[in-house]
Amino acid sequence: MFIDLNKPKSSTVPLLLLASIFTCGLTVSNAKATEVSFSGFTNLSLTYAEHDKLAYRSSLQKNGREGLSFAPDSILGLQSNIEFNDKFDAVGQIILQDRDNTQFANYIELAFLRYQIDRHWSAKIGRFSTNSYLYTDYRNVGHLLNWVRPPVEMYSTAGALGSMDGLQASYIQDADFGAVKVALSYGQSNFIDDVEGGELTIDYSELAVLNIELQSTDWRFHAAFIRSTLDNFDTVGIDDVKNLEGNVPPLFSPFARELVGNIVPDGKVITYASVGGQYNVDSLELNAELFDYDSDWVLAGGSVGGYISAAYQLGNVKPYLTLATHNRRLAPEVIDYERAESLLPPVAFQQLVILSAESNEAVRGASYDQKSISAGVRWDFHEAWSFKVQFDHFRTSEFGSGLFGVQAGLLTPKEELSLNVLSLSFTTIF
Amino acid sequence: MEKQITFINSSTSLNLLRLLLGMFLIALVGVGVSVQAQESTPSNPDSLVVVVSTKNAIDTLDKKQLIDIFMGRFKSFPNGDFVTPIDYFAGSPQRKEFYELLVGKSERKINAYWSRLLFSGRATPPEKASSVPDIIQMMREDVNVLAYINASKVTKEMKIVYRFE
Repeated sequence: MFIDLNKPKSSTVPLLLLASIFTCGLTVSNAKATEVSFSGFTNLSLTYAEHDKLAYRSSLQKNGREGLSFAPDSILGLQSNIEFNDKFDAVGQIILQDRDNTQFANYIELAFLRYQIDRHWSAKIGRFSTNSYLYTDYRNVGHLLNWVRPPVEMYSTAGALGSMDGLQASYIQDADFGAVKVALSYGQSNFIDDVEGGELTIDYSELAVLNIELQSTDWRFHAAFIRSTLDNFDTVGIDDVKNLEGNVPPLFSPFARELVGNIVPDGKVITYASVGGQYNVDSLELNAELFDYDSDWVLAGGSVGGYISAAYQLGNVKPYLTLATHNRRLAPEVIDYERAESLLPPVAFQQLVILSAESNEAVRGASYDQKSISAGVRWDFHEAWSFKVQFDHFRTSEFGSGLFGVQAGLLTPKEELSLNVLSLSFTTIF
Repeated sequence: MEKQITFINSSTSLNLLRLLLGMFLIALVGVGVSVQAQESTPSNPDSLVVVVSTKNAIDTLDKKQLIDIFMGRFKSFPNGDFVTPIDYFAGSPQRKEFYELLVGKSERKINAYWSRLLFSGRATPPEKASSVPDIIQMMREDVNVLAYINASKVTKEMKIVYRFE
């Protein structure tokens, strides 16, 4: 894994903040009243996924892999906490893992400064978790999860908006059952990924997040709402797409406009809503989450999904079972071909299909529609170590395999497919 | 352009998920009642007490307030003064007993809980003490220290703010 330090782009602020937190941790550790700690976690995971068309990946920002591989689910996380005094503290966290795009900013998960205003209120500035889902803020810490990884139907896309750069105000109030915490955040997030032939970047600007969490010692309920405006979309060939209307015969102009409007998302508003809960009673643990993502950008179209999972503690062993689903809302096509066919002469329609084939393939490759069943066992064989074995059976719909990669040289498969993944994982924290 | 797609299987599985989540939320309401019941159960008397410095303004705390502090929800006493909770080192009999009495959780679960708070950036675990003299020293240096010790170890510099009974 090679990390590119030369192109921090718009993530300069969290990068500098992270550097300050880690170097501060090394240089001021003897200063009176300032307490510094370093910690970390690792997941050493071996996965086996054999398929003639699909390549397994656990996150959209990772490379698809086939056969035996340590890459999809192995992670090393390093963290520094600094408590300057009773009011101020800072946290920096970098996560080294497989990434399509190796810019250093892609590895920074946390880099924030926090001020404790009073008993109830606190504020953060920097890069922090959006807490979009129940486990977003520690989804990478395998040792704290029953699973080898959180359900991909819910969490594969979480990395795109897993953390954000901005400001957060949070309020906590004690309650009979425990506590209620409400947080409101505002800022932005810059998504960078690699695509064939170059990079894909997009800004989630005017990013506003509302989190509500009810905490007890035995259960946790979480709800989140995210709203953002998409901006500055850039990728290979985007200028050709933007200029398409002027380069096609007048007959195709309405369809060119439709294609450009669907591919170029600048100015479009997206929203996420999610609810989830974790419930422990004696040896039984239940987890369930639902999300509703509203977007009419065809390269990241609206969807709805979730999962339910049950685990049972038997001494140091915990078997678990999970059912998950991710259902798209938009058709996996760059323009409405049914409507186009009804409006155009057959020859012209065929020409339109050919002209739009490349962008249509991009849309198909970014369409997710699948469900899965996963079964596994976690064994806490040591105070600080656990071992997990997990089997996943995924089923994708027609042109719905976008959560996974496609084998080199192949187009997005049209047919419904199934993919089996076997994972062995050692996890620890330190 | 925005065309709805309906997949019978996907829709069915989603409805099933919604149903299961609904059942789950109903279960959450039920567990709130059971947690209350557990907290009022009498436990082992005369073992551990929770203490502060005699210079601290706090005279008493209830169990809920202790949970709020030792489980990382609040960084201050109910009166707003900053609090420095002190834990015993991992594996010590006092630590195991304290968390069993406080929240009915094993030390492994407490460690996992604090790791979640740590790696999500929410809070850092309490400082650790290895002995009563350690705690006494910390209390001399910081009037905001809140610690648990065996009742027989309480000194004149400490006042008991909570007793497990």
